[in-house]
Formats: sequence, C-alpha cells, structure tokens
Amino acid sequence: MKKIFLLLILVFNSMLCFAVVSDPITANITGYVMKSSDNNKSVYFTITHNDADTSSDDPVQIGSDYVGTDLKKMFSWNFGGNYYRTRKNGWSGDLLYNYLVIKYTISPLTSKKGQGEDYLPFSYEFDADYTYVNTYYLGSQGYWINNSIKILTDTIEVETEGTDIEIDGIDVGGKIVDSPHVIKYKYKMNNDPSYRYKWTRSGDIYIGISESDYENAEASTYRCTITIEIYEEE
Amino acid sequence: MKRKYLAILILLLSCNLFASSYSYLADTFRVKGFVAHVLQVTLDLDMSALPFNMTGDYVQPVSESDLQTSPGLKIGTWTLFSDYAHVQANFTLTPLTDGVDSFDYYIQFTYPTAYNESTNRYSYALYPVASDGYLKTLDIEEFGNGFVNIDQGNIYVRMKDNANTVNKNTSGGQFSSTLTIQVNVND
Repeated sequence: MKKIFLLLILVFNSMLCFAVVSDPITANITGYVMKSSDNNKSVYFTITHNDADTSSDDPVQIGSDYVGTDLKKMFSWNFGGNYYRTRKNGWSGDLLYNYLVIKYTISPLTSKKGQGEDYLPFSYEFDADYTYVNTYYLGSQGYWINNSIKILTDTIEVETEGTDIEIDGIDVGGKIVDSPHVIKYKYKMNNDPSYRYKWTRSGDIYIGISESDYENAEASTYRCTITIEIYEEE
Repeated sequence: MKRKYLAILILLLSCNLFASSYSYLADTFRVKGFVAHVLQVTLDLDMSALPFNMTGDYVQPVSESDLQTSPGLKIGTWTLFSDYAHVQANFTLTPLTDGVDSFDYYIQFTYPTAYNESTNRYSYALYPVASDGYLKTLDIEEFGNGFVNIDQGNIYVRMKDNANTVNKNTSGGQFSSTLTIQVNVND
C-alpha cells in the first residue's frame, strides 16, 4: 500500500513538472526610418507618365492629341512623407520651421535654334486630391485621429510675376509662353502630431496646346522641364 | 620584557592600520538564491536604444549563418532562471509596421551553450528569431551545475533588408513590432 502511495506521488509530481510554464512576456519593439530633413529627402515624389515612371532624361512626346481646346492628362503625380517637422533638438523642443513646401518650377516648351530660342506656348493644370494621413482621408474638413482633428492647410503661392495663374481650391492652372511658372504648395498641419504620420497626396497634371499656337510653331523638338523641390520653411 | 612586548603590540596595530588604508575592487559578484521551484523569464529593454534606427549601420543585414555569430544593435537584456534541468524558451515576433509598410527583422538572443566549472563562466551563442510570427523554440540546458541561468543576456536587432531597400519602400516614420516570450519546462 505504501509503495503504491509513493508511486502516485511521484507520478503526480512528474505531471506537475511537465505542465510548468512561465507567465508570457509581451514587449513592444519600436524602430524608425527618418529621411533627412534636408532638401528633397523629407518626402518622396514620383511622376508617372502613362503609368510608367518618367525620369528627367526621357522626353515625353506631345502629339497632335494634345492640340485642341481641352487639356489632356499627361502625368499622374504622387507624393508623401513622414509628416514631422524639424525640431531644434531632434525629437523634441521648439519647431524650427512652420511649413513643408513643395515647389514646382515649370519651364516653357523650348526649341533652341541657332542662337535663338523658339517657344511653344502651352496650358497646364495641377489637379490635386486631398491628403491621406496613414489610411485616413483628411478631406477639406480634416479628420479626427487620436482624439484631435487633423487638418492640412494648403497655402498656394505663386512666384512668377506678370502671368495669370488661376488657383481654384487646391487646383492650379495657367499658360506658359516664354518664362517659367513657379508655384509653391505650402502645407501646415494643425495639432502637430507628437509622433510621425505617413501622409500621401496624389493628382494629375493636364497639358494642352491651342490650335493656333500649334500652327504657328516651327517643326522642331521642344523640351520642358518640371522641377520639384521639397523643403521646410519658416 | 615589558618594552619588548609593547613594541610588538604597536607594530601589529600599525600593520592593521596600513592594511585598512588600501582598498580596491577586484571583481563584482552577483549572488542569486531561490526558494522552491523557479521558472522565470524577464525582459529589460533599453529605452535609450528604442526606437532604433532601421537604416543604421549596426542593424544592417548579414547572412543566415552570421546571424548566429554577429550581433547587431543591442536593445536590452533578458534573464532566464530555472532550477529545472531542461527548459524551452518560446518566441514569437511580428514585423515592424507603421500600419502601411512592413519590414522583417531579427532579434538575436544570447544564450549559453557550455559551462566551464573551473572558471565558473558560460560560453554563449546567438539565437536569431525572425519576425514571421511563427513560434520559435530554443532548448536550454543546465550544464550540470543545477540550474538554467541566463543572467542579463544581451539581445540585439538586425534588419532583413538593407538601408537602401528600407528607404525606398517607405516614406519614413515610426514602426512597431510585438515580441512574446514564454518559457516551459522541457522534460
């Protein structure tokens, strides 16, 4: 009897040993990717022509289908970034800048002949969507994220003098003849987040050439350059 | 006779005084004791190292074999103690994500592979845990000294992608991942 009793105890102890498990530990491991806050590196920007990436060295052909009264979509653009603003002490402290600026410089369509230059006037329109922050669509009224309303304020400034550029909400349009247009989208978000959001915006660029301008232009290859600079500004 | 005796006494006292005016730290010993059966694991993250730079030099990827020998960036320590002879540490790790983009990475856990009785020291290796969400198991032995002891073993991180790939596939921001550790007796 005693022997049996001992055996039972041993078996019971073995079972207990086999079932011993510690309390689980769960930890949050965090990392970050910080783009440089110097020019052009805080955000990414891509221009896609006909769903293919376009580098600055690839000429985009403007054919007769761009001639007429209606503008035709030529490019899609897409940009975004980690929305943080440079602070004086790295992660904390007072803000160094107030605005994130995306500056477009659009040159005329130019054909250089001999020592002179010929221009082919063209009209353009930047047609923009509102911003997404992570997966939240801000719209024009903003969006509640983490108990505070996030609104991205667009301020559009034009640096080109003496040329009519129309601004309609967040869309910009104009006609370029012989001098570049410079348009600055300045973004400021209220309730500056204490950590970083990823924000994105997309849109299309429409181009068009009037029939009279097309008829008056000499047959040649014309080239236009669109330069995008991204930086922070006070 | 008295004089001699007195001289000796003074000499001895002097020796004691001289001896007590010097002190130096030869080594630091950690004393550990336990009551009843113990199976305990703790994690101590270094908050000055987190969040870590996912494109930093110390976290750049290495080959699969080098993951077991080449530590990345240290982010903390883990301690495992048990008086059971064989224990099993179970890990799960999720990718680093900001809700939009995700990146795989490894956490490398230091664990003992041998024990030298004469020097009272362990040899260590690295156990890499991938962020695929699947359970990873590490068997740890007591090496004949009566208990399993990982005392503040370092833990490190390494990315699976290099800095160029990470930079290209995200616009930046803060990323988060979940690590779970549980230990059971392996008899």
